[in-house]
Amino acid sequence: MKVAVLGAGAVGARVARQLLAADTATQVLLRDTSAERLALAARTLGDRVVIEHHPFPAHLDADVVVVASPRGTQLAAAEASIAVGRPAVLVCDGLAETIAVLRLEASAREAGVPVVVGAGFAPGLTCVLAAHGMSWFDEVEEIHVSKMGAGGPACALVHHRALSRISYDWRDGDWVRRPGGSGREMCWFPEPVGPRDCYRAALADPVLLHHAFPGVGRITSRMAATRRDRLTAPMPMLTPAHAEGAAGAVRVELRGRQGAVQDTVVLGAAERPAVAAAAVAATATEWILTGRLAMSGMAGLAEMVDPVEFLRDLVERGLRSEIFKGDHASA
Amino acid sequence: MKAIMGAIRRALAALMAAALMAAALRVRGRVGLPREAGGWRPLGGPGMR
Repeated sequence: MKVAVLGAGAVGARVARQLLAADTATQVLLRDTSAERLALAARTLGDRVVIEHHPFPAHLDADVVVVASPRGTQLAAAEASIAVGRPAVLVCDGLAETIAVLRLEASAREAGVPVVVGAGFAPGLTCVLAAHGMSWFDEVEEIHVSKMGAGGPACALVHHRALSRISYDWRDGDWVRRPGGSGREMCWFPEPVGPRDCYRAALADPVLLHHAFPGVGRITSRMAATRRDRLTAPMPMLTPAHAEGAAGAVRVELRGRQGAVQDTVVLGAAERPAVAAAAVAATATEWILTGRLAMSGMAGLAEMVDPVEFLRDLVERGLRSEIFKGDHASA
Repeated sequence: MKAIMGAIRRALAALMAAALMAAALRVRGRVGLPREAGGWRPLGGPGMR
């Protein structure tokens, strides 16, 4: 099996490494427009990786295409992948691009190819955790996602901009637009991250979760930020982003009814976002290669995988999810 | 000149009043971290619960 990984950044290079380590892919084609990033990745990967210094979407000759390229290049890659009938895994986290990609849903369904949208830390693991959390309830009324941290520099830029853009929350049958950086709420993430102030931002999680669970009345997302993050969000990034990202975490809170009782379940995970995103994307790719996806066409992971099995596979890759037991899970 | 000085004085007084109000609101609004009762534990077992 041959896998093409578009983007040799913090996530893409790790996806290539994980696929080769698991022996699911016989060959990995790693493509990027940056010779520097490719040279760095080539030093750490073995002979089974073919390095290509090439524009992202052209000549996709592989059994599965993993799109881990920067914001603004993923839509074209998804279009090209669907056009040649190749299954694709998209590690996209930008709201506008995710919405644009989801508009290709009819094309993917007609082509009969599975396209996984948002196969990273958030969205990605958050969608799987939400799908898993649904099993605790007879009826879920609210899903609240929060995240902390960013992966490589491309991911950090998306996060930086998200705080100054309009966020979309699903509330009682309609999308509610709110300014990014508003709506402070303190969220307790798994250790070592702990409590952080989180704010609304232009995040893709509500869009994918509403696609998966249209009956849930309220879906929101927030990201952790400091005062400086909020102040500088409308400006260009003042300091260069960390090459690999620091510690991060995600948290998914579900509120609903079990029998006659109202209850809350809080699930989460803590890991460096690039490492976690690569584990999720590599696992999703393996599920495509082994025919384990629940459906063809385009959707997020919440609709495409069995959450219990997927979380178990992630544990084998070192990404363990957690549950909060106790009161005062959120401020 | 006297009118300009008066305007500057009034502007400074308004700024000081606003700063005092903001400081009072900020101090009163600070409640610290909510107490966390419980903790995170890994999902596991056959149902990953």
